[in-house]
Amino acid sequence: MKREHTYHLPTEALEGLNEAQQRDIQDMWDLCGAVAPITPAAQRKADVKAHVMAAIRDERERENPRPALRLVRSSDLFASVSYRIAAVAAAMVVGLAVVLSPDADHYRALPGAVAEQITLSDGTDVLLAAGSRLSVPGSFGSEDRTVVLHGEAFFEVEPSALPFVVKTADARTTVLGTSFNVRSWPGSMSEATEVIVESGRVAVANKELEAIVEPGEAVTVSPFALTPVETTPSYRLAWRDGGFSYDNVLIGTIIDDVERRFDVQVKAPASIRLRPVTIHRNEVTDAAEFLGDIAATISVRYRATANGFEMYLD
Amino acid sequence: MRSIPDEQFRSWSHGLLRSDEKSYAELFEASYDALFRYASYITHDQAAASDILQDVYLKLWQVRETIDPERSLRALMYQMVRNFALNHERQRKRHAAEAIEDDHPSVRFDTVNDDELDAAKLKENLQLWIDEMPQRRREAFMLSRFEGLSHEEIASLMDLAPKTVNNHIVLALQHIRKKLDAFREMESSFD
Repeated sequence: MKREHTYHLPTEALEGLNEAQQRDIQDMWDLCGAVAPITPAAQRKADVKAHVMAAIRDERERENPRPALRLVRSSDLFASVSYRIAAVAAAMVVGLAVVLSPDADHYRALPGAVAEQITLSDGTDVLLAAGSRLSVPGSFGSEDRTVVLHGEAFFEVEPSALPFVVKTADARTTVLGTSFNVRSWPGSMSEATEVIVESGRVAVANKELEAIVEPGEAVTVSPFALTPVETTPSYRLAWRDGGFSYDNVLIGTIIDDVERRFDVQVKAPASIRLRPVTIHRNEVTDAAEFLGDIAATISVRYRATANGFEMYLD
Repeated sequence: MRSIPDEQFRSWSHGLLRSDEKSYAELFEASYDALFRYASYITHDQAAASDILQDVYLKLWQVRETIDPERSLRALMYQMVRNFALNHERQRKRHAAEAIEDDHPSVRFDTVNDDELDAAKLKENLQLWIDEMPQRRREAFMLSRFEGLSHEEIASLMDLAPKTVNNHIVLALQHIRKKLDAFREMESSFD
């Protein structure tokens, strides 16, 4: 079967080799053209496609009577909702990247700073942690106030008759007017969504379950579980002032936060990443110092590297 | 997937943000084969590869609203396949000796033409020599030779320095050279 493309030997491969060696590897590269390509079985591919498209349609049907999460309250919480693109002004703040599209506004807090402050068109304040992304659809403020979060943010929601909804990979968090923290990093070592409430009440749901979370309480959400967690909000929300605060959290998760906050790379083997640790520091300004603290806590070593740090075993 | 321009991927990213099924079906058709090959390089098992791909496409749709159109969807998909495939391998508790690829097309000896026999045997052996390389070397080599990924792309995907990727590729080719020499010597001793 003919290959789709023939790729050329990258020129870097020839560096440092003598002529004979270069000829050798070029010949072998060419020879490999004779290797039969792997092709997927057509029937199996069709099955996979059918399954995926069906799952998509199922989800659409399930979402379309909307789940009854809206806490519609009485009239004393009315505020006039006028859709202004005030949020664009926030783009002038250094460190915030905004992409405008006809359908949604995308905000991203760049790594290397503690957080970025955004004010949405309804007056809600959002503090977006380093490396996090927030999308605000064009329909925000008309039928509801929905945003999509990838990362961590602290919300101070302006009271309104329209529920404020934060969507993350595994959860929907719905409020009327309150202050709370949402954390969701899909693909990381701790990828469940975590919601902590400071004031007011929040309804948190995944596909199957739903819970009301009160001030001082917290839950973690994954596709099929929704569990309360013990937490001390003043610790857990320390990130807002540049603190790092973790209670029995995997070092891998802490390292992810350090990388985003300081815009560095931290290498560490799995044996270190998988260790849980408890550590609380207020207003950390120096990555090296903080990593040194962690290293000391679990008796491993660390050193600076070209683009960050490395933690390693003795 | 090398031939698909970045613009197209960006368009599919926006399709995902809009929950556009038709756009997703297009992305599926365009990306499946290359990602399937990649999953096969890691798992040596076509059935597992298609399971992994199914999980990847489902997961990608699940997290669609968090896609950033400014970042490479192509790279994200390779990364997802890698993560899922490696996870699959870890769970499968593989034994020390690496199995020969199941999908290898069986060589047909329905002709007695010497040249054809030789070519077929060579092809079979090439596959074997590639399979017996260490896992990461093979992965880097396959991505470069058969998927057209650049050193930087492979480095980013496998969390290696580009120089290391280059070493893997050169060593892979040198390994094949050594095997080929030994093979030819053996063959000629039968003439």
